Formats: sequence, C-alpha cells, structure tokens
Amino acid sequence: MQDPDRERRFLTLLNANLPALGRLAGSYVRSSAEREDLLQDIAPALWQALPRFRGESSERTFLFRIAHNHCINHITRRRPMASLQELELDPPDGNISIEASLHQQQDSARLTEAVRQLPLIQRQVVVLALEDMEDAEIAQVLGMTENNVGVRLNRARATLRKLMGECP
Amino acid sequence: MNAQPDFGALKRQWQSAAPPLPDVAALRERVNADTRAHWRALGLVTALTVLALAGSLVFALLSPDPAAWLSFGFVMLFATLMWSVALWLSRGTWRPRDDSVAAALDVSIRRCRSMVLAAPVGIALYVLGLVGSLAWKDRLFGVDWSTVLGTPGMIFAGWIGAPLYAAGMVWNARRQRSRLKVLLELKRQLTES
Repeated sequence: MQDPDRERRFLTLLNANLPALGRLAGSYVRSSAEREDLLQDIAPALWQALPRFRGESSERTFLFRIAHNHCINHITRRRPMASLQELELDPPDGNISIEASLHQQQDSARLTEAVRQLPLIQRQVVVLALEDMEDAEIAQVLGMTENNVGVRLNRARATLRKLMGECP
Repeated sequence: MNAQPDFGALKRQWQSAAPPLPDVAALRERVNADTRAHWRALGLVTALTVLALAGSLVFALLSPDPAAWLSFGFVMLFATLMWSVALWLSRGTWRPRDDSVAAALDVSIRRCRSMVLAAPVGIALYVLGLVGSLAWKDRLFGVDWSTVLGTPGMIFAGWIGAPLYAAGMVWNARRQRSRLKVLLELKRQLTES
C-alpha cells in the first residue's frame, strides 16, 4: 500500500462498516471461518475498486456493491449445485423444524438463520434493508429498479415473518 | 417502504448482532498479499514467454544451421498465437461496466463462458504446439519421429503432460458450466419484473 490517501479511505470505510460486512457475510455462510474468508476476499476487492469510485453514490453503497459481488462469487465458486438450491424461489419447507431447532437460541441468531433460509435474491434485498438502506440505495447496489426492490422486499418480509414463526 | 414497525424491530435485532470479525490489520495484510500474488502470476506467464523466445533466439544465433531461424520463427508465431487467443478469450471479462451486482454478474457469466470455451481451444493449441515442434524438428534437423517420441521431453510434455492438461481443462470446463447455470439463474431472477 503506497497510496496514503487510498489507504486512509480504505481503512476508514472498513473500520466504519466491518460489523455490517460481518453480518452480510454471515447471511451467506454459516461458519465463522468461512465468514472470515469471505471478509478477507472482500478487502482486496475493495482496495482494487476504490480508485474507480467517482462519488455517484455514497461510499457505503459502493462498499456494499463490492461486498455483495464477492458474496455471490464466493457461493457460486464453492458449491455450484448447492448455490442453485439456494436460488430456488420457494423457501424450503419445514418451518416448524426451523422454529423448533432455533427455539433456544437468541433472537438475533434466529433472525440470521431465517435470513439465510431466504432465496438468494430475497436475501440480498432484505440484508441491505436490515442495514437501514433505502430502496433507492438497494437498487443502486443490486443494479435493479426501485420498483423491483419494493416487490422483492415485500416478498422477503412475508417469507421472513413465516420463517420466524410469526403470522404473515 | 421499508420502515414498517415490525420490520423496524427486526432491523434493531439484526444490527445488534456483532459477529466476531478479523481485525483491519489482517485484512490490510491480505490486500498486500493479493496484490503481490497478482503481479507474481502475471510476471510468471510473461517470464515463461520471454524465456521460450530467448531460448530459441539463442539457439538460432548459436546454431550453424540457418534453418534454426525457422524454429525461432515458429516459437515467435506460436507465442503470438497463444497470447492472441488468450486476449480474444478474455474480451469483455476484464472488469464490470460498473460496480453493481448486475454488472458483476454479467462479467462473471462472460468469464465462465470464456473458461468453458478455453478448454477445447487450449487443448487444440497444446496439441498444435506439440505436433508443430515435432514437425519442425523432423523438417529442419531430420530427427526421426519415432526417436523423438521416446525422448524425456516428449514423455513429460506429450505422453504425461497432454492427458493431464486435457483432463484439467475438461474438469475446469465442467465446473464452470455448473457455475454458469447458477449465475444465469441469478441473473434471470435479478432482471425479471
């Protein structure tokens, strides 16, 4: 790292968003080792992409774009067939068993597990919404229309409520 | 739109989660390591090309047989062909048009397709290089084919190397096809209204 300004921006962005990135990575992979691997993949990608940042969006939006791209790359590279199952539009059956198996766990752990159960496209939208992003920002990160984000977010919320054992 | 009360509670719950994370210094070291690895890989491929060209140039300069320059010409031609094919295969795969997930998906799909196509093209080039170098030896220096087929170089690069290379390329192409299926499905979901 020989560019002090780039290094300063890199470290500031990472320091400010590391917990959010950790939660994002946690929505794609289960083990903490895999989550660390994923974060360690995201860091070089962010470093390489920083010079391309032209301020069209917030730096946070930019960071989440990079992070999302790497999460998708990570899961499609490692387990193509499992990834295909993750893309299924219908959530897996067995909500009762999810409820039962998670009954003793903390609420945030239940939520993370429920988010992981979402089909990938719904998961992407809902994770960003849970990180307090507006629909317009989510649309920028994912490269889809704001209208599409709204539709998917509604579906995702309904699925999430179902998975969390609440009434739809 | 994303501020319903029940979802607000979920947001607070989500943001209160603090997964254990690697420290920033470790991530910074990873960036340095990755940059070094990237340049090393590029340097290695370039060095191999330069080495092959320099070797055949030295051979042509030292050889009393003027036909050795044809051998140098073949190596030059082959290196140019390989780099051209590699650049052709990687067209449109250098970087996404922007940093959105949709653009990254497009570039990933192109990379997958390029790697699938690289299998037959790579195998064909390998065979071409092997047969070409044998043909030149035969034509220029009058080396008998049957003698060449049993040399250590031919055993290593031909009898062992060629099937291993082909198997590796086919395996990678199959892997990329599976990945392509996932990426195309994801793209379909992203673009459907």
